[in-house]
Amino acid sequence: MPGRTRLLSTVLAWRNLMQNRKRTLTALGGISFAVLLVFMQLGFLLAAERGSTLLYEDFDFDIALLSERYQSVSKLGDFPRGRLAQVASVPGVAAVAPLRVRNTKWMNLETEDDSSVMVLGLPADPSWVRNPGLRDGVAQLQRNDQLLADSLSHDDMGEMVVGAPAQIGGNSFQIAGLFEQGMSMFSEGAAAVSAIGFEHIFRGGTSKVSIGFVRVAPDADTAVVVQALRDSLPPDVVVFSRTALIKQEQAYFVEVKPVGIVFQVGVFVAVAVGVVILFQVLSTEVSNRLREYATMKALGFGNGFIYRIGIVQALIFAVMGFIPALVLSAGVYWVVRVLSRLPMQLTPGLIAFVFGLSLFMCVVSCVLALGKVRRADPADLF
Amino acid sequence: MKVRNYLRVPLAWQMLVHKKKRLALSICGITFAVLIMFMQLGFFNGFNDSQALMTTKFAGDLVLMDVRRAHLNRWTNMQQMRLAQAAAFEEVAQVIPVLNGNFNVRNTETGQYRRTYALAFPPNTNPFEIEGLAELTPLLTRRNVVLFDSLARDIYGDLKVGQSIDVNGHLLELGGLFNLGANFTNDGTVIMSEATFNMMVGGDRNQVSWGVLRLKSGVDVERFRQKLRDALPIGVSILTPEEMRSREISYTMRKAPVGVIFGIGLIIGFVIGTIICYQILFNEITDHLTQFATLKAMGFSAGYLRGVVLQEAALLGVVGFIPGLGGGYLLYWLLEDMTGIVMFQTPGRALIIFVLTVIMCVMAGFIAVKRVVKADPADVF
Repeated sequence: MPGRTRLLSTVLAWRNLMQNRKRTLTALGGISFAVLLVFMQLGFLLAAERGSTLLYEDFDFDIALLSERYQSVSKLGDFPRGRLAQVASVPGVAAVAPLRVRNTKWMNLETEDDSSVMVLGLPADPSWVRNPGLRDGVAQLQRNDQLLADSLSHDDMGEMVVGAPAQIGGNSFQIAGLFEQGMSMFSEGAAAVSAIGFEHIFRGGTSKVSIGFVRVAPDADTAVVVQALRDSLPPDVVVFSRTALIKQEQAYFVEVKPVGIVFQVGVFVAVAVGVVILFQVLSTEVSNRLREYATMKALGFGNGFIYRIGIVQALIFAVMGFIPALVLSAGVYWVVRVLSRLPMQLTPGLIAFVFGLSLFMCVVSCVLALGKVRRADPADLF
Repeated sequence: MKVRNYLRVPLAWQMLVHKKKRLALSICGITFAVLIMFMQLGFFNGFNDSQALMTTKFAGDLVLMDVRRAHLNRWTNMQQMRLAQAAAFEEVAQVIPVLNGNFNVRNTETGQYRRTYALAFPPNTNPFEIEGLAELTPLLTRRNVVLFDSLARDIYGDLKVGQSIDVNGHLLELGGLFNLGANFTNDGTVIMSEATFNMMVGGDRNQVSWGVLRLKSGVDVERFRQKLRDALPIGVSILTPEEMRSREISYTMRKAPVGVIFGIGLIIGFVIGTIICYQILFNEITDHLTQFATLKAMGFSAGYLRGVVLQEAALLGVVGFIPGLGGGYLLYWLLEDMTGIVMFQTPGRALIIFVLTVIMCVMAGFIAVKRVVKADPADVF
């Protein structure tokens, strides 16, 4: 019997929705757009987070050494290169490598406009590099006037073509290869050069390092090595594990810069709108069917049965509103990626989270709208 | 006909207020859609306004700078001699040189250095209109005294007037706090005298970042600018603070994807509003179908009925906009407090949203009205 009433309430909920298809469709449209808004806001937030750590994703390391002046990827600072040699002998350290990062000007040779460009001085060993374009490019940097250009750089920097000349910090270079990074939030573009190339642009920098990459021996524990490094180094260097560095970077971008709040408020308002729309739909539904519900009560069905109809309707709205929103947001994400080069991605985690929010919207609006059912009194009707 | 026109608005109005509770709910829905639009437009403007905030603080008629200094975070300097050239004109009342750089200020609690926007000018002058700065400028006659922004992000630790503050490794004295505000590029601002600045950078003392020009009263700014333009080499830009502001905003819009981000949000808000409004009207019409059919049977034209629905729609828009505007003010105030982004309403910005709201409701009205026109008296009776 309980199984059968459950089935009956589901069938009734579905029939109720199908009775007035046009209204059901607009309601679904409203919910879809509210969910789409949630997708957009969270997508931007995650893109901002991801965008801030793209540099670290490009390299393969377990622990990073940074200057005490390090604040964020756009303000790395540097420390004496000698610290790296010092670290190589710490137990648990398998290998070390330097990365140099500095910003300078890139001149678009056609328009003669300057843009700010982030220049990476790559380690000579490509095994430290994860980004495929950069990894393959290390071997292509034969001369000190060759560079690899980020093909996702801002259009103002001009078209990136292999073999074309480039001007960086007043020095003439040749584009020897391309890679994809797209850290559009910090500089207009990026270029990578060899250690000698870096010296060619920023003279007198060979004794400095921006990030010291450390690889931990297979049998060593990262946390233990981090502590050992902290103990053995003077305070001009700070030590982060890979995950701690990425977390710290995202926290700077999302918490210090107001990006986090902006999009969190957006999510909140979008969920509120979703609740209002769903509530509107459900409460009209309940008022329109109050007679039917009262009849059912008179027939001996309990409040619980009628609640269930409402809950199933809300669930159908939440699920069916979610699907077009997901499809739409895949399209909008693509458009935003093309227009703004923000790394917007629909990850399974994001999809699951937004689906959870849709269900939450549905529960809240149910609680608000179904109060009336209790008051549906058969005596009023007959 | 005249009577009918007169009748229409009260009819549309009375249909709306027929069910008070539902009306409240409907208004709530529209208010939220209005709020989304306000929020998205607010962030868009807030981002641009915050990035350009500094340009609105220049207290002068014209500002001279190197032509390559195309925005606030570009560091190319110009020769100080250009300011002397400008000062030689009799129309000029005062020329104040301003130096600008990026310094590292140390958080005394965590020991972390934080990159900070630095401004410097000669003591006893004040090229800016920054809240609380005018009273503090006399302090700058003392070397090694700096002023700091009380509205900087809270990454600098607790700063108290009179304490020592580490700027680029030099221990200086914090003389006082002014109120400026942070943006996406700069977390905080430090102000000092020209002498203190030069001591720290050890740079070329013949270089300045900007020259703030004040003209004698009655001098025509445009005509004088032309005169100055002819006297100075092309490597020097001569802009009014307002021109600097619009240049900064167009730079920000071109370089940052904010337009795309918040533009999409605005469109989504608009679509949600249209759907909500359509739903409200749809229910309204369903409930009053009998009345509409009766009116039709009485001889009122389809055009008349359409008018009633569209007026209902427009009324909903207007009535829903008012709490939306109130909510928008509250939201801006809250967000400004939480984020430090400058968010303010101007009549023009509110008007944009008002027009969008009315369009959104009337559009929904056009879609919903079809049912009324089709309402057949024969079906009802």
